[in-house]
Amino acid sequence: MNGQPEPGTGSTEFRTPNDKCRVADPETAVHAEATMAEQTTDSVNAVELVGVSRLYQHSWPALTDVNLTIEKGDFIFILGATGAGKTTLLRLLYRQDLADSGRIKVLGYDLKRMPLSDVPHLRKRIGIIFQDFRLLAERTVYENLEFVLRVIGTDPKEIPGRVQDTLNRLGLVHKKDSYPHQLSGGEQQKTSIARALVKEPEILLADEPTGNIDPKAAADILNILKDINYQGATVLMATHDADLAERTRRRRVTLDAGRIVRDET
Amino acid sequence: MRPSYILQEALRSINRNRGSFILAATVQAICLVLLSVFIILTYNLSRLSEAARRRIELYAFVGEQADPTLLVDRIGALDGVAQARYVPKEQALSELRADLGPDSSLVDALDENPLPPSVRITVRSGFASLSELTALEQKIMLIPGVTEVWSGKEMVERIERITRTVMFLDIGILVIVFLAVLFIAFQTVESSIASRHHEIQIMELVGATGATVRLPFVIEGTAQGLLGGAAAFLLALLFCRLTAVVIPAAALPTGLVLLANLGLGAISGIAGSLIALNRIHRIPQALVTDDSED
Repeated sequence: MNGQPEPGTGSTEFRTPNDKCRVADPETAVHAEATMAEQTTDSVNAVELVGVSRLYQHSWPALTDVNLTIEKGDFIFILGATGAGKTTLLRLLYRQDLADSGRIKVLGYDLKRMPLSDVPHLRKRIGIIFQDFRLLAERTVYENLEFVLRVIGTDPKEIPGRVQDTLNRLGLVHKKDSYPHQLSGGEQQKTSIARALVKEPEILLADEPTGNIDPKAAADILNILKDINYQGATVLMATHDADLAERTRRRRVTLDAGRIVRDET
Repeated sequence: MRPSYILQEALRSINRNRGSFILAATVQAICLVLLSVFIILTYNLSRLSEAARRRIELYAFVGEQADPTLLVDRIGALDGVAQARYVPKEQALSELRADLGPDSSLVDALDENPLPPSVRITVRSGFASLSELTALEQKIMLIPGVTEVWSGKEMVERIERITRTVMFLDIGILVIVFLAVLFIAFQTVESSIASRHHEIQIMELVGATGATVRLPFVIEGTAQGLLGGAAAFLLALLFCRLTAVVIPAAALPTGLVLLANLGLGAISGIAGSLIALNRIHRIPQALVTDDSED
């Protein structure tokens, strides 16, 4: 398997967890059910963490024995105060960092065992949004989106259409020729979301996306993320704003000193 | 990975850093021209040494009673001998007279001809080394009638010593120039990476492959090396033009100089870029540690 997405996740026999097994022979069916249970775990789960721990220098535990399963299409808040381990958790998921122990699977990839050459393939399927936006200052809104598609090797003929569609979706068309410094905080975050969305990710990781913007813009951003989730993407949003998460009525996982202390739906 | 994109990014980066790019290529050219000068000197020195070796002649002095035909036959049959010719003592004296020119009257003051008859031997190419000459000299000495052999090996020894010294010097210069050019390429690409670390980080996070991130920098480093090499070649041509006034016989090994400059420029450019690129992962890592406490 070598860290690759496991075969069988797209099998015609066991396509989704709700699909019925089509095997007639009872013995084969028992074996098939067991296999299905394993295979469907991957087909259903976008993210799976089992006993994950991460120690930073001086043995400071950023995460300790974290167990978390997130199904495809979920919208989940990762809550916690500064230093709780939210960013560490997200960094582990896009493989910017590696766990010291435990197993992490994202979209079927075993992050510890996957070859380095597969990391770009994984990241193409994940969108990342940062609190500090991380836009390219010398490129316009349009160019920031175009840049992403160009570096991941999208057919140049497809790029203008996809950028335009994404700008339309986020209401940024009138700002497409503006540079990041000419935008408000909310608009910069929308551009950052657009940049993550333009490559049509299966998972969106948002690290405090509302942290640097005013409440109205924050509400806008949250609506956009909900809409993205409604379209089928799995969304993980790290935030310290528990009220915002509660109002949204989605699954909330709370971290404290690197441990999951609450998981509520 | 699209080649057109990678080329465009490389050109974009060169254009953005064109000042430092041109400056670095100029410094590389100056380093490479030093190597070119040494290549030209070595080439001409080896031509001179080869010409000198071709002119090497051994003198086997023989007794007056020795049979010239037998001597010439026996010496001529030795391995490495191209030609052997008998020179009677009268001919040796007249040659001495001719060599002395206006001072030939000195010879007339002598009561009798002091010069012995000899066999003059030219050696085949490949037998003009110090060891071959020494071996030949020993074989000739064993032939009856030969009283003394003068092989001119001291001159050969001197030529070999000079050639060896110049070769060592060449290798030293080559290593120094290579390291200097490599360092310049490394510095340029490293500063280019540093100025674009934010962009590189974004590229890696959105899923750009290693080749997409790295190749534009390798192209940049290679282009700089090639530009420096081409400029060095032109400067070497100019050097040859100028020295031709003083040394008309000096030759320019055009192909070798061109190949050395472009080859060394390109190799150091590629190597310098790759070394600098090893830092790529360290820079984004340093940036993200700031928010890792969260």
